[in-house]
Amino acid sequence: MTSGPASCDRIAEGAALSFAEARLFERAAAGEREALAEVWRANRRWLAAVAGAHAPAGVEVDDLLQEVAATLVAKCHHIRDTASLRGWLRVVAVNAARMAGRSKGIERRAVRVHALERAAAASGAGVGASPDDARETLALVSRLPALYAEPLLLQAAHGLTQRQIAELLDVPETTIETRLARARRMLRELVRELEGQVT
Amino acid sequence: MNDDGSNDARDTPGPAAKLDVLLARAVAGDPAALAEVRARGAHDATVLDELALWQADELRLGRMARELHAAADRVEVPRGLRSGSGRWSELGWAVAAVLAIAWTMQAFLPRGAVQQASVAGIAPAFTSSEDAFDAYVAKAREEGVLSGEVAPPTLLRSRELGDGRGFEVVIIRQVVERRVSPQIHRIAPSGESGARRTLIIRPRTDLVQ
Repeated sequence: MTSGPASCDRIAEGAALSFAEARLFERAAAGEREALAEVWRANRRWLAAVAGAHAPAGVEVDDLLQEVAATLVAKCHHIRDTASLRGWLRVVAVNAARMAGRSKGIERRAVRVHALERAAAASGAGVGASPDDARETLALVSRLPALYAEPLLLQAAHGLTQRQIAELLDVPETTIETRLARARRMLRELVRELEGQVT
Repeated sequence: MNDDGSNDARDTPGPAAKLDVLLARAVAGDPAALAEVRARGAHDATVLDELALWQADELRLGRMARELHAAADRVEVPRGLRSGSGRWSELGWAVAAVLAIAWTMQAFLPRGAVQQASVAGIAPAFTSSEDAFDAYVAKAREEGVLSGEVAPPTLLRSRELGDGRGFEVVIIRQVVERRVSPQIHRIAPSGESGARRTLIIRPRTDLVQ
């Protein structure tokens, strides 16, 4: 297995793990460092999308991924059913984001970032002037309910199909279709609102 | 961030919602949806305007995706940790607490008593560690060292031994002691370098007067 996007997509698919992937995970669960690193590389990009969707404002996705990677190394030997790996990793990422949100320090940073955005929007310059910046877009997406932000990021940032997202989140595909449409509509309104403030 | 808005499965989509679903599929790369949007646009130009805006949003999301991927690719599994080591790291504080208690006991023991026991080579007649612990509790109460009751043990973890002998149960036993010391030490940063040094803090004698 390689760590390229193709392997990421393959491992992020809802289908059962292939024999090779299951064997790799068994080696990882046994504590083989190279196997653990490979499992991590194959999953980290879609996990970044999950973490980004659940991250409170002001929390770096890198920091959340560090938490997830550390948990994978420390606890993957507890995972008996290798097919449940992706679901478990997703829960770890969501919990890491929620824990980060409980930090008082994070709350203070979030307030500061929001204040900066408002100030820039008012002056027509800086971080709020245009939503082109990737971080600003992520900040906008993070204002959506996680229910909508997560499928949006999994599709837009990682290229998963509606069926793959539905299997990962364990909900019907029609529900994902509706959530994606609403997420994009909400994002459009936020961008429109931001652009309206600066013009 | 919150998880509300879960009424998506119950709603009956109206025409606007249906168009949003169509636009979402189109910008995600569904050629059939894109063709349908364009066909609608032939009769209603606002549909094409909306498609253009959604495509611009898709480009923004694409740039954000590259940033997310870059962030993900910077993170590797931590070095120096092995699978299963988390169990021991969870125990770290407990080990530290035990070491601290051991050090405290040593520090407060009369120096002569330790030397005397070592020289005499006479071990107290305890039949078990439980007896020794009970004797310690009784003596500590007598000396007024033990503060309050002995807390019930805290369970850290347990596992079946697998050989029919039973279960391994790992607990922490805690006692709360009250000691009187003529001085205490505090580790504090010093100077611009932030180097840490030990400060000796002595009681203020004027309070006694």
